Amino acid sequence: MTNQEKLEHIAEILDLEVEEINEDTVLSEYEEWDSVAILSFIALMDEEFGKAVKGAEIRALETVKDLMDMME
Amino acid sequence: MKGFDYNQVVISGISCVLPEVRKETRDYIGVFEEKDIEKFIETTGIKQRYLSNGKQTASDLCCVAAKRLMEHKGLTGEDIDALIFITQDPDYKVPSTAFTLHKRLGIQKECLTFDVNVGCSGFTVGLTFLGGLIQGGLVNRALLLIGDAMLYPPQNDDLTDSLMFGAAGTATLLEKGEGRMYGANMSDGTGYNVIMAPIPGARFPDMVHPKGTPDTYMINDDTFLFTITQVPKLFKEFFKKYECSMDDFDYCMLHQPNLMILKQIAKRVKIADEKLHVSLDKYGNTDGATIPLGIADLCQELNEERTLKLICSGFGVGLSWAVVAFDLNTCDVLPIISTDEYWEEGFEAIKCMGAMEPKE
Repeated sequence: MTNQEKLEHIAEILDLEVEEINEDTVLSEYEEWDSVAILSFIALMDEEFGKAVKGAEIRALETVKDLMDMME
Repeated sequence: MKGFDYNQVVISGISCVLPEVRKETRDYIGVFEEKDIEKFIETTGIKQRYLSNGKQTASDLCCVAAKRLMEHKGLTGEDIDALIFITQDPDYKVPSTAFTLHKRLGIQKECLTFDVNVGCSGFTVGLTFLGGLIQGGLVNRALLLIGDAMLYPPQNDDLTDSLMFGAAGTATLLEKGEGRMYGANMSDGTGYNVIMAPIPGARFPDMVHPKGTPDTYMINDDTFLFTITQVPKLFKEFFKKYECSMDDFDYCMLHQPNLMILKQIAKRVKIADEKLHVSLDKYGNTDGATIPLGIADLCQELNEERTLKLICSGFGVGLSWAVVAFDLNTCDVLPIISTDEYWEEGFEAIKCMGAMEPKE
């Protein structure tokens, strides 16, 4: 998956346009980064990468880049 | 997946009952912030629920449902030889609430009677073992009563618990006859603590919950991941084993926890929108009752006599999940009614304990 595709997935989860975020975006600054977004990310990780990720692991992440690094 | 395949089991009736108290999710604006309520509705899909009037228990709702079903089928207590009550909130710790229902419904004595403590997989678990008892010749006609009516007072710190769960009582009649019921039942005890009500219980004899209620907690992330992976996996194994696909079924009846989970399962199992019947918008999550209640809701909507090919899946606390398929005639499914009834005598029982005081 390309970085652009990763960004598109993340933007969709955050309910934002892809232009509104970049690798340095700090997740906690968006109120859309909530428990529902975390569940969506869990679903995405399972579906696209076949990985079972714990909510606590995701909550510990700070930036969009951290999410992108997990997406492998 | 080993699965089971019965050829002598028929579901010959379903009856569902709600309490009369109806609460819209938006009624709680003020208790919770409006934007949180709107987000809750968008994610869960739950717009309203029915709640106990404070005296009604799950068994009261199931009792009305069962009486109505027996009347509709022209049955008396002499005709029933198994009565199973599946609930998360029995009337008493001992005995099984099923015995109070045995009395209230006037069932004859040679009847297998007990409660089963499973939750959201209750309908599919119940069909699996009662179907097996019928197939094996131990039972001819069984009442499967499933209900919950837990009272969750609104709590500021937990919007989900406060607004998610609704009350309902259901009665399903299973009989020996020419009919196929097939599926598979799964459990994973390593997830015992993912959804749990640890107190009151023998592990913690001296503890009471600070809120005074036997709260259930749920690790949402783990529940979500379990559901969206294990349930679709079981569907796939089911389709492979029984050489069929969603094309062979008219409707898929999933347990109704929230819209987000339903969408994930539907996407992964490839269930078309028109085949997935959603009823949680009207009733919330009614635990083990969601599937029979959903079937009754569907039949009301269809409003025509026909035989439906249904594939059902219950999943939740345990962890426990199952897929069960069967045919059902819509004329055996009664319209949903509501009731304010409760069992006065049930309150008398406590007098046997001597001087008991209600908690403050």
